[in-house]
Amino acid sequence: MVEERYKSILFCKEPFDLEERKRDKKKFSQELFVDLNINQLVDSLPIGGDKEFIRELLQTPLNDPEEVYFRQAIFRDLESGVLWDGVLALVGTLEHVDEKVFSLERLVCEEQKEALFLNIVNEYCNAINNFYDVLKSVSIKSDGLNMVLLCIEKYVVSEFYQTMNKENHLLVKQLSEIRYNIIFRENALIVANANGGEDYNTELLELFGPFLFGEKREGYCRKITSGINMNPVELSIMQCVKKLNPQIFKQIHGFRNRYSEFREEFVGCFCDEIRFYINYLKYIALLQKQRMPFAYTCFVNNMEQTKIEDGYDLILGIKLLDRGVEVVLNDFDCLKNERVYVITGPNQGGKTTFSRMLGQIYYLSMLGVPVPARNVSIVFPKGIFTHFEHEEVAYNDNGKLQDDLLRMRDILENVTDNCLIIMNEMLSSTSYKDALQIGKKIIEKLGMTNNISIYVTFVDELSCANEKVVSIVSTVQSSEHGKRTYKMKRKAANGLVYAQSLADKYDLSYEKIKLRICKNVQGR
Amino acid sequence: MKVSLLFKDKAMDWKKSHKVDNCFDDFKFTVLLDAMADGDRLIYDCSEKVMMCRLTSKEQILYRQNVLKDCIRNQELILKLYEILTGVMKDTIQNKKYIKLNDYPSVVLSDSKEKLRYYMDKYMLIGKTMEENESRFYSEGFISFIKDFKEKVRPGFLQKMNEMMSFLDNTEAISVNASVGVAYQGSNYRLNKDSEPCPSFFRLTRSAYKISTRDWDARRLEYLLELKQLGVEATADILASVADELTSFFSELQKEIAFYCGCIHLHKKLFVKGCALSYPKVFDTEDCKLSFSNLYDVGLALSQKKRVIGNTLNMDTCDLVVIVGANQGGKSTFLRSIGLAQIMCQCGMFVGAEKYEASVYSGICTHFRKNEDPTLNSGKLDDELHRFSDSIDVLKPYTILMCNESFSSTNEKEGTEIAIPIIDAMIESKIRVFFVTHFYSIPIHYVNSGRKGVKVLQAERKKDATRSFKMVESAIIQNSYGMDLYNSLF
Repeated sequence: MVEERYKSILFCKEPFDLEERKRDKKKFSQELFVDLNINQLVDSLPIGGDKEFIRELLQTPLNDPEEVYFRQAIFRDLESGVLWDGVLALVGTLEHVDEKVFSLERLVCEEQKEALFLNIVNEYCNAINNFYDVLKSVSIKSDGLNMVLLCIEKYVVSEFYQTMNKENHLLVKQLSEIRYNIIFRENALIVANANGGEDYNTELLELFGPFLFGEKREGYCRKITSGINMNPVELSIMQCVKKLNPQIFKQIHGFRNRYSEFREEFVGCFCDEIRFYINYLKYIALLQKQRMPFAYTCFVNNMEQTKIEDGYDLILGIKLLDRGVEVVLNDFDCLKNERVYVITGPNQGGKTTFSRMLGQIYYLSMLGVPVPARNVSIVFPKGIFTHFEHEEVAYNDNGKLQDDLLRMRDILENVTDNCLIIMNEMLSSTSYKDALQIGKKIIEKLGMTNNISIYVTFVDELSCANEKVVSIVSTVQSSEHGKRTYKMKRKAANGLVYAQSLADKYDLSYEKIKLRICKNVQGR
Repeated sequence: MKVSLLFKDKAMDWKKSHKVDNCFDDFKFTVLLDAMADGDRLIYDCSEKVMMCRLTSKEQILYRQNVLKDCIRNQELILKLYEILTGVMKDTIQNKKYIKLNDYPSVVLSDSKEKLRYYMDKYMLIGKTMEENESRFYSEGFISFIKDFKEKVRPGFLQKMNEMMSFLDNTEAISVNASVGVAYQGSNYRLNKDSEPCPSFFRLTRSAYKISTRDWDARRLEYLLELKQLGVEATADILASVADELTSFFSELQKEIAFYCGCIHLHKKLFVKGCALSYPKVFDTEDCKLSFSNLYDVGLALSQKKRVIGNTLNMDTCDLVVIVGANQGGKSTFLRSIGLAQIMCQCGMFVGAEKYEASVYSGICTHFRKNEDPTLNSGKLDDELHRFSDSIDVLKPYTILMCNESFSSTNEKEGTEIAIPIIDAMIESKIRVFFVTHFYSIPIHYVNSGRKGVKVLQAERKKDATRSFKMVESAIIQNSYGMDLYNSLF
């Protein structure tokens, strides 16, 4: 049910306060963010605004699918270019308004403060009016934004706003219509009401119009800058103008007194909260422009319905954009009885990236944001547990093994069901035999739980440990260079396949050439 | 202000580097450019840029051909025009008639006034000269150029301009009109035309106030001067923009005319030698047309005294032309003649042939053997393949690909095995391939396969074993010699 009182566009249930929710955050550790590189997402947020607030939101996943769908609906609405522009305009203008109010203090002349105040309120009212128009003109499907529309509507039709708006616009208009002449004489300045004399510039433009085709350029002269405070000459002139137009100056003076509290609280709240959406969308904007897929996660009831199509590591995707390379897409699905996925393959083949991608997609799904994939259907995760290898940690071999085992025990003790577990390159510090034996035991234990476990390892034999285990291999191209494809395929672990013809090496085979020429047409 | 002698609806982008093809070196392009430039650096550069910027439609080519025909018809006038423009540009640079930026408005104002007078003078000169010769121009490009001039300089224009300029000469008593800005500051200052309001007017209506500046200190007087400057800023901007527009106009026009002067020079040189020149008939890309009669290598014609041999062929329906035969037979020259002609055709020029009919192609790509590199033998096949692969990166359908002795760095068997799938892929991707080779098994393969659209040519060998440098259909292939010979003898 949508009500008129503004609650929040980040949460649709109690508690609406972020602080309270943070206390409930025990399921996710700080390491998770580092492992999945989500901390890099947070670090790359634009500075300014309330960065801490957004960081905390990103670290506080939602509790149930309904809340996720609430946020997704708002993201979906923001896909409309008109609404997106409208929101950006509102947030930007209100930020601007705040800055200007702050800078009023620096002015010395009282009259200037009054005039500037008039202008500030004008900007504010225009922003509100424009935003209201935008909201009315687009088709809004989300509960969140519908609530905002109703609140704004109530505000805009209120008597306070109506009078302020009308009076402000009238005064601004009247002020803009004042024109006066300054006549420079030898020992005097004369300030007079404009008597509708002829404007030289207009005539000049008419004469040279065909040469410029209406494009008058500026900026040939050195800019004469003046601070916001007027110099004594300008002040004297202003005093004359005031004497020539006493009525309007008096009205502007009165306006400032009456409307000093012109800002409406909920609008500020909305702007703060909507920044969460804006920042995330700006972060993924470049990828979207390259037509990389993004999806809204759909939650299902059975593990067997789990399916991820064309997913990729979001952070990596953005990094590779700089190098003009596209990140590889991969699928993942869970068929009947499958619970543990053992991933093997050559080094630097994309195994870690694949596991990170899964972690990211699961985690981001709980934030209600568009996730990096074409289609995602998963069970709402009760927890996400990760253990990635950290090269920086300089333990001796025994210390590291103990570390790994302790972490595994910790995970196995704390999982419930419907969780995602990712163990990445564990036991790399121990002997092959140990890694095989210990690995077998752990996979058995994992197989007995009702979770999805991803086990990345260099031990190929683990991939056929038992029937609940699926083997996924990162594949290479068949050529002597063993070029990685970064594609994961369900198949038995095997060695590399070598040798091909000379032409293949340079992509000069029959098929390759036709493909390349096709690509040239698409202008990749 | 637009100049549209090269393109109907846009200006030429001189800054962008259009060099995408490697073919310019292979076709010995510089010979052509040197002849066009006749020692003038600007003509060389502009011609080079124009010729590298391939036109993509029939209409664009026809537009330019017509402008070129006008230029050739009125050679002296165009060359003279170029001279005037060169003079103006030289004046501009040497006498620093550039618009000085970032100076005080009053300085910009008087500066612009002077420049405007100078440029307007030159503009009138050029315009009037063209207008007088209006009847001798038929192309859309020039007709609209003259029309444009007439629209800008209507009767009474000069007089009005002089009037307005002289108003500015009086800088003593000025009157400025202003509106009230955001924080009560003055804004939007504009110059008023009449600066002497009647004194008695004020006493009657009390709508003016006087501020005496007699006893003002230096600081206030400085602010006062600033105010005056603000008053004339808008006017200065206007005059400066007009002068600026005229400068860029002259610069643009000079560059476009430079290209046409290049064409005029080329035309003269070839004409004097009695070489045939004609304007090609252009077809749409999908028509895949290419046929000519008496086509010769323009570069060769320029550099040698002897008459150059021309070739006549119709290649409309074939997408693969294999050229075999001994060295020094004129194979490379043949390729070059087609390459140069197609480039010239696609930038709206005439070509070196009696008749030339072709479609608009997406590009021309060459893979010539680098003769200077003696190490291009066995073991360097890798390099060759690498280079070849690079050139594929720019290939699109409807491109012309010319391969001269490609893959000759290996033996015939391997070379043929590599070449044939590549050629197949190319022609199936709608690329027109010219393949010069001494691997006879390549043309034999295609003839035996009965594939349509394949022509095999060779350098003609006369009965007395001398070469004629003409390309003829190869007779050798008709008889598959080896086996036939065996069968006939046994």
